[in-house]
Amino acid sequence: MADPNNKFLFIAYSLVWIVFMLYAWVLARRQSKLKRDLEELKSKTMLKDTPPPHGS
Amino acid sequence: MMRSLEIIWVLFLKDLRLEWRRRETIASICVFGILVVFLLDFAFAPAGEESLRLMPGVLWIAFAFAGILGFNHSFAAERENACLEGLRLAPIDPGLIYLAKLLANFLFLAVAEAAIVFAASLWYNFSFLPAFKWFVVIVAFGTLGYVAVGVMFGAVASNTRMREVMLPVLQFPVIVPIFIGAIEATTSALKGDAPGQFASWVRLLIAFSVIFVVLSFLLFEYVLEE
Amino acid sequence: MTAHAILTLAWLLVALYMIFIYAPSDVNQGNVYRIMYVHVSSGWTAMIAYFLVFVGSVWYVWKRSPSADDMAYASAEVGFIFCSCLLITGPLWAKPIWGIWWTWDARLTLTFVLWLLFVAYLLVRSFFINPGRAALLSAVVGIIGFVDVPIDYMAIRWWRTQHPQPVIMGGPNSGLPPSMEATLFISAGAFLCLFFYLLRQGLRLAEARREIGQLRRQLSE
Repeated sequence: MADPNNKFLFIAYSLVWIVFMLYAWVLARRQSKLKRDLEELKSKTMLKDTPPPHGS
Repeated sequence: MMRSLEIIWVLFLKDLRLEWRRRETIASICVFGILVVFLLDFAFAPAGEESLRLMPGVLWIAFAFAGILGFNHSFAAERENACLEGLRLAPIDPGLIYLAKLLANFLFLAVAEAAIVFAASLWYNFSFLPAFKWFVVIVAFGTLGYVAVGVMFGAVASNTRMREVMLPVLQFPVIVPIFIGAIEATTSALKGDAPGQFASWVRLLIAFSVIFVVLSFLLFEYVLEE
Repeated sequence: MTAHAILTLAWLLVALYMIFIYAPSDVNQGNVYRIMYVHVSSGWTAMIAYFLVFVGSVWYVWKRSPSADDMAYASAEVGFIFCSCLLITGPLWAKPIWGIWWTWDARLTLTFVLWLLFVAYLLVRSFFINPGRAALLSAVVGIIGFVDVPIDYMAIRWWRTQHPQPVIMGGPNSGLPPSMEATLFISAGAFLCLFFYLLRQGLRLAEARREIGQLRRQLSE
């Protein structure tokens, strides 16, 4: 049963797995960065739209 | 139709005139092509029969590199002097600009190829004369297809950073059929095979050239578009 | 999206079961042939991905719709991942079976060319000086590349029939027993499902990026 070629099978599936996990991680990072940018911009826009109150 | 031909001719002459004044492009691609032939001669030191086997590869590698240099030059000059903007504003079909560039680059590369073939026949002690007629036909159509893609992608690449590197990267996958066809046909012709043997390769070269000239002609306006 | 994620995961798990438990060992190749399921599935997905790059490119050149460009770009990126898996699994399957990592036979050469087409599209995209033009020009690259694929296929095939190949490889579909065929189709389906999931993620990111761009422009007014 200990087929010497099994290691190729293992390496192939592992590498494919790793490639997709890496890509998923890259996508997740992009998404969180975009989310941060979006929040930042949204708050800046709100500040712009609602002018600060004048001195009491 | 006549007007279009006129326009192409005028633009073509413009490129020729520019080239004639400084002779940068033709000189550098001739020298570079011959250099490649020279280096390969040193690398492989072919003896007798080996020359025949190596020649098609050596030639087309030299043509390929000379071509890349030429295409990069062609658009670098336009960029420097904002000529492309001028051309873009002219009330002409952008595809005609492409055809004019195609002709000019074809001519420059043809001159370089002549120099390369001459150098190769000298250094490899190889005579192209027996199959000369077919050899010229094959090289002509191979070059046409190659230049069709090269000018198109040269224009695209000139919009990017690292444009000298971008051009070969873009070109490489697309010109695979041209190079396979050209080398196969050249090998066959130089070996002395009957034309029937390599006719299908020549047909591939012609088909490729036609398809890519037409496609590039249609798409060129988008490359120029601001 | 969550539904899609769950579907993808479930489908992949089913495929995994079939690949390793349901499908029998191969008479000649033993267990290592199971790489084929991932290899062929990646291949079909990569080809569909490139077709979508073409569709997106043509649509963009014609209608200039940002979604078209989003689709072209996302397909190129995800397709590149699948094509890379294709190129990784290929040699790993070839080495134990053929004894060589690589050979320039018709199929492998075409695969490499397809991979280069993906790389070309993505590189051109990332090196644009003016990002506004990136969409249009990469669409041109996508169209030219796609037209090239059938010509490549013909040329490379002719070329390889002229020169006897070092190894004759019976295609993976040359008489597969039904259990393997079923496994292959389920695996391919799972991969396609994954592809579309990743594609949709890419589209969402592109839309978010555009929204941010708009907000930035509003702010600077």
